[in-house]
Amino acid sequence: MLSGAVVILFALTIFPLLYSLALSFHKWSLTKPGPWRFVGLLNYWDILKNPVFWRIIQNTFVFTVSAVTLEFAIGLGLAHLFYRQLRGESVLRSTLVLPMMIPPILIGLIWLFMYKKDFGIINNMLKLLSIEPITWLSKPSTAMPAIIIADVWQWTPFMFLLLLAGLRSLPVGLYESARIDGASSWQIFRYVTLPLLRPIIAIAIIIRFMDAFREFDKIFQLTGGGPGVATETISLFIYRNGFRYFKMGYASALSYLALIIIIGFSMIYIKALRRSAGR
Amino acid sequence: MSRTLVRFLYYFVIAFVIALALFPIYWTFATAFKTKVDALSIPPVWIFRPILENFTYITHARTAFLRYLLNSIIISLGTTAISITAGSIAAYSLARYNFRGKENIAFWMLSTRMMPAPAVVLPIYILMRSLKLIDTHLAPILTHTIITLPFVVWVMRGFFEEIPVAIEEAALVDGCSRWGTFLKIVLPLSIPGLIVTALFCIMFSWNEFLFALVLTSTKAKPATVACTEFRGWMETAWGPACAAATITIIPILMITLFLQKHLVRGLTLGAVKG
Repeated sequence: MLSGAVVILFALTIFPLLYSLALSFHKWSLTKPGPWRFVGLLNYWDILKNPVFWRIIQNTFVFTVSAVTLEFAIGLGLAHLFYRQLRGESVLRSTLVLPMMIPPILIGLIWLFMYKKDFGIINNMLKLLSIEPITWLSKPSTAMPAIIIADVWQWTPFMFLLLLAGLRSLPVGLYESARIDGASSWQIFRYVTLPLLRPIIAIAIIIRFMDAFREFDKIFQLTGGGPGVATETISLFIYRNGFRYFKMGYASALSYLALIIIIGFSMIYIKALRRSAGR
Repeated sequence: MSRTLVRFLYYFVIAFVIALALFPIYWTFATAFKTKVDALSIPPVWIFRPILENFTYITHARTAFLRYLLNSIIISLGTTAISITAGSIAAYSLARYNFRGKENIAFWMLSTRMMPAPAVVLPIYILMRSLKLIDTHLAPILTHTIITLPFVVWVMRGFFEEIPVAIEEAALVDGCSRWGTFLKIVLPLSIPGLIVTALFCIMFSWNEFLFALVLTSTKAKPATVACTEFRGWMETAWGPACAAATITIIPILMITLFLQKHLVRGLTLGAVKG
């Protein structure tokens, strides 16, 4: 009975992966018809000695780590804010989670509109605080923060929802006994809440980390990786080499390098999941 | 005094957060109803006379946006149909049978969902091209099942495991076959779970962009891809772009309303039962 799903997934994942593994040892251009030319590890060598590649790995980590850290910190704060059941909570919560349901590519579009230098709403709001207009997306120093802000806007609700569910699942009695024993709020948070929340925190952070690492849509729409390669991440780099320059072998080798990093993370995730599910 | 101040601050912070979450969505919806002059005015206008021209422009005058919307519907429903059918059968056998390597298969399926799309989009593009499937609905439908099928397997497995085994055993004792039990007893009992899972699948497929961008061009292009095509030579046509975004977002917001209680479970593939 399992076979249907196994066959479909096998055809759609294992086959393409083997195909691109083979392709990564060849030179082949989609635009120039001709046979594959075997080059061994040359594609990999070309990538690893290209300084742009290392810049892109750095960008990817800067984006991923800053976005996930901010989302976690704000999400945890919000979860504490909502911990005591408010009146009309379900309505408030439904509103708060809307950003993460919207197609990421449209989030890119929306923020592109808001980041515009002259008529963009963000600069016009800043003008009220007498801050000079900022060309958000065309300066290297502000482009990366700008895409991180858009990601934080979209995904903080995810952290919030998970951490709130986690907080509410903790036994209230523990807090009361800690308080009777004279623990301060910070001590309760540090020595009671955090250790108990660990499993959920781990799952939330790893899921977000993997998703942020492969983020494509928002960056593609907002900056396209620019200015220069200031915001180009691994996903955009693969796309550019494959579908702009049609360097299929090179792009396949890149995919494999990205895949190795992702497999590392997903193994950590699966370990955490197995532990929490008891499987 | 200080207690009322704390209370006030508390509600102020909550109101501020809600406003931050909602504002970009509101701003898009509002711009969809603005004239070009209002949309680009400096400073921005808050009160304006709403117009419908942006919507008629994208649906009739210039682009056939409704057709792209229809493509989105076809693709997401197709993806969902395949994933729910194949996925719930697989989920059931994972929930009820014990066999060697069972957990390994389950986790392998999960790992395919974590694959970075850019890493597989190249070989899938070449595969679809050699199958002559580029710019058909089938290409994104099949590809989106990479995302949705493991999702269905994992979430439905959790739902199936919550059904008491005794009910199925009673049916088996009464002479019902395994298939019969699955179709007549288990599936009807899991209809709420199936609906939730299907809505998630629709959402994942509807929101997907990269595969759709690469695998379709004119005939099968979905709304997400079409929304990005209002970039003009000098400046994007913001009114029509926001109108297109509004039409694309609204179905998802409606789905969200139904998914409220299941968001945590769905977004962690059943790892956290909220």
